[in-house]
Amino acid sequence: MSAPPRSTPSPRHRKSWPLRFAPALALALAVTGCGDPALWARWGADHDFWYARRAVERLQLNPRLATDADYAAAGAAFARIVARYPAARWAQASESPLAVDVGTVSGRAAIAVARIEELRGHADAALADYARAEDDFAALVPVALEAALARARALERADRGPESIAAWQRIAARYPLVDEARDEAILPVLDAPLKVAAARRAAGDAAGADSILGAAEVRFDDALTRARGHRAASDLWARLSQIRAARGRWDASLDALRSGLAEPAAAKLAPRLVLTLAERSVEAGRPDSALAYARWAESGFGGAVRPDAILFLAQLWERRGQTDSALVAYQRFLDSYSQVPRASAMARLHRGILLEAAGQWEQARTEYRALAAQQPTDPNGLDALLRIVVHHAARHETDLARLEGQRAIESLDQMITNQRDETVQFNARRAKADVLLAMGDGPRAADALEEMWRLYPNTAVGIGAALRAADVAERDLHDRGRAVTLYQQIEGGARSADAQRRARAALDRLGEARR
Amino acid sequence: MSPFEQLAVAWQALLRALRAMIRGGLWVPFLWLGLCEALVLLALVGFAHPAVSWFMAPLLQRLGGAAVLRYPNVFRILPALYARADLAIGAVFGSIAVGAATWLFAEHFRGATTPAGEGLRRGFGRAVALVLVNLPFNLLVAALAFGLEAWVAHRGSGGLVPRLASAIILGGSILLQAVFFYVNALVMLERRSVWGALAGLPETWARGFWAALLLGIVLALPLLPLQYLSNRANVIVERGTPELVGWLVAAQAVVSLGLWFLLAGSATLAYLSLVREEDA
Repeated sequence: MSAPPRSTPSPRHRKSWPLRFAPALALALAVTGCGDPALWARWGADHDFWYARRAVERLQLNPRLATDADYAAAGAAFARIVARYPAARWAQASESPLAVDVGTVSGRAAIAVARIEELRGHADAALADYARAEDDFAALVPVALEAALARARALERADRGPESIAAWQRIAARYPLVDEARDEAILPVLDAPLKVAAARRAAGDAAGADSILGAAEVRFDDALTRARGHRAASDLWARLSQIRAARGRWDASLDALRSGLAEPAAAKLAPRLVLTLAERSVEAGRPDSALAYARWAESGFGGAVRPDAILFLAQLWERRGQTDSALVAYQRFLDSYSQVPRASAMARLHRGILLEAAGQWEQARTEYRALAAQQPTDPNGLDALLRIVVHHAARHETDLARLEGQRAIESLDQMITNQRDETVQFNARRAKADVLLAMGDGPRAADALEEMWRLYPNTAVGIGAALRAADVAERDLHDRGRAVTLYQQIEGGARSADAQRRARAALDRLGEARR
Repeated sequence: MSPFEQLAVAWQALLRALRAMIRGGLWVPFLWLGLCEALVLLALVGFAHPAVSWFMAPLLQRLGGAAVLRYPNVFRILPALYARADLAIGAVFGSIAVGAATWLFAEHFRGATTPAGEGLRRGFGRAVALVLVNLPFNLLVAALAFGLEAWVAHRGSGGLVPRLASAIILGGSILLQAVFFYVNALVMLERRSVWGALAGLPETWARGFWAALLLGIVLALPLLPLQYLSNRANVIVERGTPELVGWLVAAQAVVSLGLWFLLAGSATLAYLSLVREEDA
């Protein structure tokens, strides 16, 4: 019996095409499941975070136009990320690196939700959200730390001092000083004990501050036994030096800086460490060492910290009364770094101040005028304008003071009209009030100060302007009614306990206390 | 034929190829090519999906580093990645598609009605010859493009040098295309072997080089604006929508398919008219 011809297979051997492709299809389906779902999840989380962040960036382009609903929508976008990639599933340290990335994105979204609540003015809700983010993502230390830092800063912004200090203290105690995986010191954690100690000291608790610094010193020493020879060591030494300096242990502080300099991985930080050695030497009462270190910082390290070193030298000579050396150093800075805006303005102003103090008024005025012309919106430039008026007023050259003052007022008014930058407007208004006071124009000075109080009621400068306006009204204008009104406004509306106390005392003095 | 006659024939060939765009059957080889390109583009854009990530993620990481795997970084380099992939697709599947289309166009211009499947069958029948005969052109273009780009990157030049390098790459590619313009016709219509087709090229230059050059230049122009945009993918990602780069590359692929169609059609007709001197 012969086999059936190939062209006519028997029905038993003939397969329909789906059956023929079935193994290939099964293989394809098996293979398609081989990819890592965490990669897909990370892609999705990154995608959602990117668009949520873009929404916030659009709001930040012009915050004045953003409504509360816009902020709420941006917050909801971040909240959706947290809900889609919950901490319970993704924020486990034992997960794969991809899953940890997803958890990190989700954690950052949780922090963003809190930040948006803060921007909306819901401080309590924001603080609760920050705390929840820290707890939920506790297994992912960098995220939890980010949430803890954000909470501590939010407390500072909300003027809740004791709670903020407690938050910083908790950070100092709870989080590691060094990120072992990246071999980097975690700078905010290193700074935390210094912050807490400074706050305690400011509150009059010197013993508490020293106790915190002492505990931190032990912890830093312990961390350094493991970190020596690693990249993190230089930062640890630098902060340890700060801690010792804050405790008044100057020699130990300088030793720590020298140890940091001797670390094999200190190359990047070395210029800054040498400059810090110079600064700390001044605090330790060793000006000659300070000069030597500052010269080293200026001439070594390929100019990495040269501008700061020259300015430091100039200021050191200025403090020591060596005017000629200070003038030369400031000029050296201006010759090399005139393009550095704020620092060059400061250098020129100080040249003016030194020349004025040395009795070389013509040269001083040239410096002041050059500064006011070159950098008119810089606070130092505004100060230069004021100093010219003050100089003439102090010498009772009333006509000259009035002439220079009028010129300054014109240029300041122009700046207030033309400049849209809020900081520039703020500084210009303050300078205008100062110039008017220096000119002896009490009524206009009081008007300018009152305007500042009206425009910036919740800032330290606004409150300061109101107190000054009330003082001018009371003493220069002898307008008791106006002074009383202003003090009452400060007592009732200023967000500063100190200002309210001062206003109350003034009202008591004027016999107007709580009628 | 004089250069002017060649240019006139090339122009006519282009117009007739444009008219042939409404014939659905002639598109079949290019649709097949388009399908390959679409799959590659989808695999690049959706590399993170578990269906493809098992091979796409390691591949992308190798090409662009680990950062490429984070959104939206792949879109920053998508045009460059797709251009590399497209070079390989063109060298293999593109050669076969153009070979199949050349036969279909020849039949169409002769007035015959042939099923598209027959063209594909013949194209795949000569697949090896088509890929090999186009290989010198593809290798030379790749060497020119990657070589010059690597040289510019190594020099770290800015300003005029990169622009000049881009112009040289474009001009060199058009010139190389003109040199190998009729190679598919020699394989598909004359049924020559790989060596026979390459050896027959000088004969085609004498009769149709200027026509090939004109067609190469004209058909390179529509892609320039899209290329200009795709060179600025990073800006689109930063200031616009990252996915827009994906759509831009898709648009570039669609326009390229149309240009492949016109190039194959006009090359076939120019070959029949100028080299074979048929009254097509």
